[in-house]
Amino acid sequence: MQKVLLHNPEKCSGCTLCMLICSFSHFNVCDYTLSSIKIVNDPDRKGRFIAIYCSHCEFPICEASCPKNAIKKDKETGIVKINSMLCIGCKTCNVLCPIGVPWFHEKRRVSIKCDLCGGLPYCVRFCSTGALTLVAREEARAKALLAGGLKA
Amino acid sequence: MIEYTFFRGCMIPALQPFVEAAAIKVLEKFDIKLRELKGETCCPVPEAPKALDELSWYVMAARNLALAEKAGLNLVTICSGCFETLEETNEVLKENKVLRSAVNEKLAPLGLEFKGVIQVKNVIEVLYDEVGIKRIGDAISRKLDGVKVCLQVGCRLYRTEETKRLPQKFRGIVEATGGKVIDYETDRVCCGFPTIYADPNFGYMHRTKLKLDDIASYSPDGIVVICPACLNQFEMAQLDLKAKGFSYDIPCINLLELLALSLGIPASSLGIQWHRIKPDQLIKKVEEGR
Repeated sequence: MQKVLLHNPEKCSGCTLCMLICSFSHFNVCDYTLSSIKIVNDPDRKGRFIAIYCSHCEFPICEASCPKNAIKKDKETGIVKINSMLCIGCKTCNVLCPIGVPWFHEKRRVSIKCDLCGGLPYCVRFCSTGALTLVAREEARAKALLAGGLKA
Repeated sequence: MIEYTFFRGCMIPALQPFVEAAAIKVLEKFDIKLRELKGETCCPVPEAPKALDELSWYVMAARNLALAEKAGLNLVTICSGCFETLEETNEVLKENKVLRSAVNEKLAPLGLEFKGVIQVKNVIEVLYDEVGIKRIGDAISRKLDGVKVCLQVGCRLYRTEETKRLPQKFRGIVEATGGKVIDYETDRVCCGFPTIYADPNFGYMHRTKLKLDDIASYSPDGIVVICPACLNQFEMAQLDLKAKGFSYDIPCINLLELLALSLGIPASSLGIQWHRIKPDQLIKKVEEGR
């Protein structure tokens, strides 16, 4: 069963600890530009925040678009990962992802994206308000639809 | 008389001694004795040390808990960060036997052992559940009628919203003093303190300023906080923003200071004058109260 991140904007305080811990755990430095999860202001609601993060799609367009087959969806865990040793930094995945999750690392000249920290993501463990959780995809989908006023 | 070991953390004794003084005086009024936890260290902070080495983080926290266990008393903390660390460690180690034995192995050379026999409490829990709102209301000698405050609960307490309901209890205690709580739109937003790890300026401009602009539009007498990091951030941000041409001058005080003032404890005995943003107007208004 695939597990994915789920962000609850009603609980998020915008403390950005998830972004800091993401960059720290992957690059040993606290830098907002090196995070694979982004917290941005909700343009429609003052004092609320939206999180942009990888959904580890069932049929990932990043995987399909990669000319070097550097992106693979793990058959068991469902985690979509970029192999930095194979990536040539063409940015095709950056452009094709519908929510622009993969980002280009200027110094390393490769694309980077969320790897769910191998199973238990740091952002979930360090979220100070409990807004970020790791749940089964079906549950995440049902909750997101419910929040949007739709039926699953 | 109930006795507790007192865990004050790092920020409060170093930067906000008035909060520590208020905590001791307020709890003394309600017959709660605080015993010093001799040999306490950093809680440690639930961010950087935990990210560096999780086992060491548990060991340090368990060491503090083991000291409290040795004293045979439950532990009360006045800092939200310490509360998260110590409570989480206490709960996790009580359940996870493998981790507990790994931690105890490291504690053994110090002559300590984590047994999991005490409870970790936030000062809000002690005030709300053990003292009770009615007793607080009855003990108040200066009712804060006419004092309007905005609350800053802080991220860490929101975590307990559905379990221990600390944000609701926090509000209940402020209302028991007679003060009027003003609701504002950005109440849930982070004070901006965690941004010090990467970009403090981002925190001042996009978190604290966002809140201060919203709060200022209601012109309250002050902001009441419980987390020392929030207090520090609100004061430092106002000083920083003043240099950038934004002037607010909204005093920010801890819940325990507000309670101490309303219980008739003189402000001068707490050292409230050491706040970076002087709460003179707020104190004057409280002292004029009935």
